Amino acid sequence: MNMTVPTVPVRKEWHFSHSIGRRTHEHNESKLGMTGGFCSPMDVAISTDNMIFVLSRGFGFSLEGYDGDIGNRIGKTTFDENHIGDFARHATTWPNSIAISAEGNIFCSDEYENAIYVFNTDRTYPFPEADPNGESIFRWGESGSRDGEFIGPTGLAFNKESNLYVVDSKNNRIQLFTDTGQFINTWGSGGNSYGEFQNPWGITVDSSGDVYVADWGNNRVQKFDTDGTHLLTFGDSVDPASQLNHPAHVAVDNDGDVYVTDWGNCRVQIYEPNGELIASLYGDASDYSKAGRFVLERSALAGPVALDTIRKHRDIVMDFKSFGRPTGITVNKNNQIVIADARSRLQIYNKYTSKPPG
Amino acid sequence: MSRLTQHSAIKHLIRRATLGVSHSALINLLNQTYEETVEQLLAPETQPDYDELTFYRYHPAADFMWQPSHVKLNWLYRMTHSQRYLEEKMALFWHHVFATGVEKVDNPYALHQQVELFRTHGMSNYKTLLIELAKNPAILFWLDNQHNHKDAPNENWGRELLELFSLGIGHFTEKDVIECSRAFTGWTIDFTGWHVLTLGKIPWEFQYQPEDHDNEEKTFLGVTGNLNGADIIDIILRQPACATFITRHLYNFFVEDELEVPKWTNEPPRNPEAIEFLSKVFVESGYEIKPVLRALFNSKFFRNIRYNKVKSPVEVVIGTLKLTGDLNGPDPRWGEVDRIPLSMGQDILDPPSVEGWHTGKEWITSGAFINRVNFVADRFRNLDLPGVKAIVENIKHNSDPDIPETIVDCCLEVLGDLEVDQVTYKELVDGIRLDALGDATDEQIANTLSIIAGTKEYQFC
Repeated sequence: MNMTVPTVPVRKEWHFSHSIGRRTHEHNESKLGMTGGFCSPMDVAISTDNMIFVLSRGFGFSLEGYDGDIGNRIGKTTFDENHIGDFARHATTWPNSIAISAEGNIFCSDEYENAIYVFNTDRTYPFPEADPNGESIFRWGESGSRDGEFIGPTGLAFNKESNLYVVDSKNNRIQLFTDTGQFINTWGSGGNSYGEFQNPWGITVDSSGDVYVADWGNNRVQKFDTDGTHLLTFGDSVDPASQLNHPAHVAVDNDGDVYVTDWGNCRVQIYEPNGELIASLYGDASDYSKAGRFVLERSALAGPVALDTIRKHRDIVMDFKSFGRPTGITVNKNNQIVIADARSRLQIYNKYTSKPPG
Repeated sequence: MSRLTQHSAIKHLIRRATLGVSHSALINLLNQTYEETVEQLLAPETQPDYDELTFYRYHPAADFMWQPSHVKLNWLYRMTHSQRYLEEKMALFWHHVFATGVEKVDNPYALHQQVELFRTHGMSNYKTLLIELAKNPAILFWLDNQHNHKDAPNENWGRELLELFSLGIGHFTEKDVIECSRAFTGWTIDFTGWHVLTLGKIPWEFQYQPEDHDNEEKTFLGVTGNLNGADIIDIILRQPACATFITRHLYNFFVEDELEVPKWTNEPPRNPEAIEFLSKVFVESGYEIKPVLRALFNSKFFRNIRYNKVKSPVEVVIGTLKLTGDLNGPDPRWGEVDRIPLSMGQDILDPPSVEGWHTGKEWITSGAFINRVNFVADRFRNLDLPGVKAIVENIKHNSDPDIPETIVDCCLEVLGDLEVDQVTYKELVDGIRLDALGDATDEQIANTLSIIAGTKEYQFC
């Protein structure tokens, strides 16, 4: 039951495919690989072998004084929802964003600890096993506003030279580092003119090396060249249909179309490379993911009640097809769009492009 | 009124009518008259609310309220950051009166909606508030009204509406409880299933089911007819006991600790004239809440009373956070904050029963007192906190740093024009050790503040 989102022009269409995961702070793994899920997912990334990595913020509490699992971790799953496992459980405090390096390591920003952590993805840990002090193979970052320091680092993206852009959110700037954490350069400052930011969040790099920054507090996405020169702005229209409201993340597909998680409006905006709005996605997960249904059907306590509720109140479940709040977004080489939904699931869309007649 | 008296009166108003303010906000408030301050408090819409989007950006779990702790976090954060001071205080007042527990309701978002109801109608009209409360899913579930059917009435909601929410024991009969409950058959909610469904907050909605409503004749408090829930509330408001009951609650919350509610039947109010005065205003205004609050805050009995109310744990915690500047903005430590008032005897949004909390001196048990003192003292001793830093600078500016008495006086003033007994005062003065230059250090001043925060006087407002 795929939902089709009408689009203009008709050459491009986005069809909902399926959802992945369920809300759980406890684990992301079972022998069957069926019970996995997320806890306040903040960002997603896809590896070259098409594995999906999901960064869960968890409850966002400090671990000290809390005797339970607080849910922050990185989960690994396939597109057909085989939950492989987790790592980086409790390794960070306020994890915000992830990016995968050319070597396949995952870089993760922590906006509370003002640090970038690097994890090797070779190993995932079965629940409840975790090594919060030993999983990170490398980290850097100090609190401050000098070159190389951070106050609230968020979005991460690698450029073609394998250097890492870091959105230094509360310093309102972008910093570029080598993949070993050596500072290269920086641009941006606080404000609302072009090239200025207000608490920016996500970042991405397109195939030509241009950089897109989700300027959260200014309700826009700014595009820059590799030198940090402003090129274009998305979503600063007065038309509510295309006006962004606190955008979180941005992604660019193989055709150059730009996807923005319009966090404050609970939708995803899709733009032509020139900034023209093509389509809006509001979420179409009108049924449970495999993991969600698996758990509901097998829970002796909750399952029968929940399933009965589903039968009786189908319309309510349908109401929840929409995004809670979309956060992270990414596109793979097949133009499959993966959107992290704050309802602790992923929503997957496929893009179809047809050539115009003649 | 002298400037000093005016300042003292405004500080008293702020201690009672708010959950505390920051040091800088207090300085701003002191630039206006007492009456202007009252009017500002009564017009919350003119003041900035908290920054909801920033809160949810950094605390996404709180946005979806997966667990009871998340709805508590939502409210405690908002109490600390909203500048609509009286709106939040009134929400807390109504939570004390219409005490509803998240553990039984098991839908944190439904409790969030109830607090929002208290914000929206907490200072408007009491009849409107009662009608909206009777349609509030959290309290309907809390008091089992989804099980109140025309063929099998459940009296829980009907009884508490009369006993705890409007009239008090002694002003109705058992027959009235039955008839009241019959009138509220069919007042239910649209969704009572497992709320989480793995997808997050599900807003329950009120639903009136006419087919489940008892349409037979009823007689309630002497009025006979085919009464429905709204008729019951109309009849309740015609009873003199209703205005007395609610204004006694207001007096208890804002002016002077009363006995616990079940004893009100046999024990007269501490200040019957005040209750009579407030009740008159309440009835004459058509049960508008704002005029009663205005009359209360401007009354002599309110303005002339000082330090006879024990601060509730929530007041202690939120007031201290605001004054010291601790947890100003999103912070991972917010996850622990709901357990702090709990350690002092108040689990917000999870009262011990529908009767709410026993207030006044019952807040002070030996364990709770130690937790109160430690929490407050730890913060005032921390010179890294921006509020403490500002207060210390202010004290240094306004005192003679080589005369300990002036430092103690300033500390007492900053913490609310506190008056301590002579023995305590001497100990505070003797406790200040001047440095080689003959001045009190910042640490000495902060230490004095933390010691004062541990006195019995600081437990009152």
